[in-house]
Amino acid sequence: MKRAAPRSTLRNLIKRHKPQLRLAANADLLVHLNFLLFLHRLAEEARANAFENKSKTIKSEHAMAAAKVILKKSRG
Amino acid sequence: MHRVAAGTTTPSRHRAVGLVGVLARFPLNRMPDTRASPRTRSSTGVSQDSRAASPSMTLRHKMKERVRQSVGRKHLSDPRRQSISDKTSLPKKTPTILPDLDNDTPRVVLRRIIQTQPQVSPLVPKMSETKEPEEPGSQPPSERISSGLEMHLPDFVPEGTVITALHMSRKKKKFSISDFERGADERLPRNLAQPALDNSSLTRSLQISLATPVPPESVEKRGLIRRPKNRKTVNVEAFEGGVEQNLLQIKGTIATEPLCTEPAVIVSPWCSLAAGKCCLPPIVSPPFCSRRNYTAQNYLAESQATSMIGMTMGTSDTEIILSNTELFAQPQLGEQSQAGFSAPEQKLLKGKIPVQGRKASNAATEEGMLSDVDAEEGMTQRLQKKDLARDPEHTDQMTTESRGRAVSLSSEQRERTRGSSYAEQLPGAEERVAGVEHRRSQRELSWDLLSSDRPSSSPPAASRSLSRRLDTLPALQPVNSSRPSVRETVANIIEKLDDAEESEEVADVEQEMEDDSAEQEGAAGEVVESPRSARTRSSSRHSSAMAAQYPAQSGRKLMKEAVEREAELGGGAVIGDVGDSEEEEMTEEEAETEEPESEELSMKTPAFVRAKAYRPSPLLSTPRTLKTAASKFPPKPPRAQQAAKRTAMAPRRKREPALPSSLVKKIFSHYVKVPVARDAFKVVEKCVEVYFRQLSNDLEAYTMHARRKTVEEADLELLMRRQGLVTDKMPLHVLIERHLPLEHRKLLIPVATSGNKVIPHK
Repeated sequence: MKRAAPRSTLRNLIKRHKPQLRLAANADLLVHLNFLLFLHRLAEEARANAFENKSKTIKSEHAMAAAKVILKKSRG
Repeated sequence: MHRVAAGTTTPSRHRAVGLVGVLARFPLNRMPDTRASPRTRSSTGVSQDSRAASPSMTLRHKMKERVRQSVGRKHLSDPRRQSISDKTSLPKKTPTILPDLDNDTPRVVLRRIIQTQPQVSPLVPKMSETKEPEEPGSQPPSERISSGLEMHLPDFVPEGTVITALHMSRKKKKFSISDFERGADERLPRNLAQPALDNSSLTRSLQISLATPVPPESVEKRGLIRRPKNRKTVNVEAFEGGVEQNLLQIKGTIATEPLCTEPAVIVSPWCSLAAGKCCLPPIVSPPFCSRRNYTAQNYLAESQATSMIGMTMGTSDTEIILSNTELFAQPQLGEQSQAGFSAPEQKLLKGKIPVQGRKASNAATEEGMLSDVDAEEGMTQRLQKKDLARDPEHTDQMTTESRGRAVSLSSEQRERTRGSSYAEQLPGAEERVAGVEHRRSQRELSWDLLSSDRPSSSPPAASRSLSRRLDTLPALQPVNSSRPSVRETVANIIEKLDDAEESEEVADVEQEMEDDSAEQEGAAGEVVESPRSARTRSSSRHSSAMAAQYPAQSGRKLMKEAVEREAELGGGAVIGDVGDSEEEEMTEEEAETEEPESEELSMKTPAFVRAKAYRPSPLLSTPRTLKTAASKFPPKPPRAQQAAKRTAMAPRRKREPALPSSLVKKIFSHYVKVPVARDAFKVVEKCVEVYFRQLSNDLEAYTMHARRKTVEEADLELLMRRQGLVTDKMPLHVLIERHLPLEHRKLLIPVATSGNKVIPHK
């Protein structure tokens, strides 16, 4: 079951990083979409890493390696 | 038959009249006939004309003919006159009740009606009055308007403000609409009790009516205003007030003049600092001040140092650090006499180096006088030396730090009995960000102290530990400019705390302290060890207790504080120089310890902030150190418990806005479809933070490139395209449909509905 996007929290996050930047009305929904897709890619990569190590659970090292790759990919 | 309005018949009537007049002149011989004939002719003509109009017209004309015939028989004798005065005489002779609609103008008819008709309702006369003057149109409209205005104005007042606003608009219309409405309006004020209204009152009412729409909206908006904002402001003010009160109390207890003046001075700069980013300092200071009465004078020295440090730092981070340090410092000083604490409080508030020195000496003297334990006195003496030996910067730092600690400690102290000064100090550290941690640590400290207090040696041990902490404070201060020094201290503290966690024995802690000191670079380590060893002789238990408490708390923060305190105490024991080296070592250790910790980034940052508090480095350096610290912090499993405690204890603790971890966990688990280890979640959370930072940078770049200041959906789409999420094969809308819930999708994707409507409206 999906939860609603925390719109205000997203706005605060961006505001904290870039106080001078504004967000359009529904732009934070797209930010949430971007965030979901990022997590999705991260999850896929981590799962792939875990399967490579023949592990049924995601360990921190799998997640760390996945994070490195996906973060690099997520740079605009 | 009389008709009020006979607009439709007027043209026929006029025609009839004209025809009658023409016909009447010509056929003079045939008066009777002509009289009848013209009438009939006219009537017929009229009727003929009217026939074309309507059957009602014909009927009317027949009725008129009858009337005329009845009237015309009387005038047979004078046909000419009659013929000439057909129009005129007839109406006169005919009873007024029966107006000659054909011959009379509407105005005449109406006038007759008005004059003859009885007033059935109050509306009628007004209407007739209004109508009559209106018909000729001779009366100036202004008079009417003014009268209407006068009538209407009182009407507005009794009605609601909103209604009055509407009436204002309606008023203009009424003048143009019709007499009826005007009469109705006039009636209303009459019906209502017409108070004697002055122009001022009217204007007031009008103004009120105009102004009313605004407050309700603002009231509504007030409800939307977030409470936390108010809370923060209130806290700051309350704290400042509490600080001042505490200061007054301190003043009462301490007779020193400089002490009295210092609080005011310190409070103001402290508040100014707080105003910047976080309200930690003011929050810290009030509890600190309140605690003054209870804590010993050692706190004064430390608090003064910390307060000084806080003053110099001037950043929220530093304040946090200070608060953290103060928390630790306070429990150490806990058992000291209460009176002495007031002196140190005042010292802290002043934040002036020479004053501090004086205060330190005063506090020391006072502490010495007040403290019952010899060890405490010794500690105070050490503190005095420390204070005197310290550089102004160090002392400032120390005071700020100690202040923060004292505050935290004081707040905690409130909760506990005096018997366990530590305990009291511990509860007090709630307000600060690290306050939760500190509280926990302090509580633990207090508990440990209590347990240790049972034995008689506890007070001296406590004092010794406090002195140790105080020594560490000045020791940490000298390291102002070097980031690594701060890190070292933080790392040192963390290590100490961690070590203390593992082995809560006194000896172990001492050894850890020594080990930490050994880890520190050369002389600094030795210096640290020397004071530590001095401390360890008697207050080993307390140190361990303290250390144990620290680790039990929020972990790194506590450790840093413990390290800092130890450094301070150690520095104070030896000499300022030694303390400096110790501080350097401490900071280095802190940095080292920080690196392994990657968990709880939020925790890390406050620790770094704390570490930075020791050094009066410029604000610019703090973010860098924070970043380095954040990158270096590894997650620590034992922190989970502390984190839970922390979050539970400090509801108001200032946390950087981050996505709720539960949400992140849920989404990640859903996407990964496989069980995930807890450590992996931490990694994911850290990754998410980095991602958001990158995201905001990219969005800013795109928006700036478009010379805009608002991030639009187009910018988001561009970002996703560059990330490879949106391609020619995968449009954005498909992604929206797949991943976002329906309500969000409705807002994003325009949908065309019937009636040429597009939702959402563009």
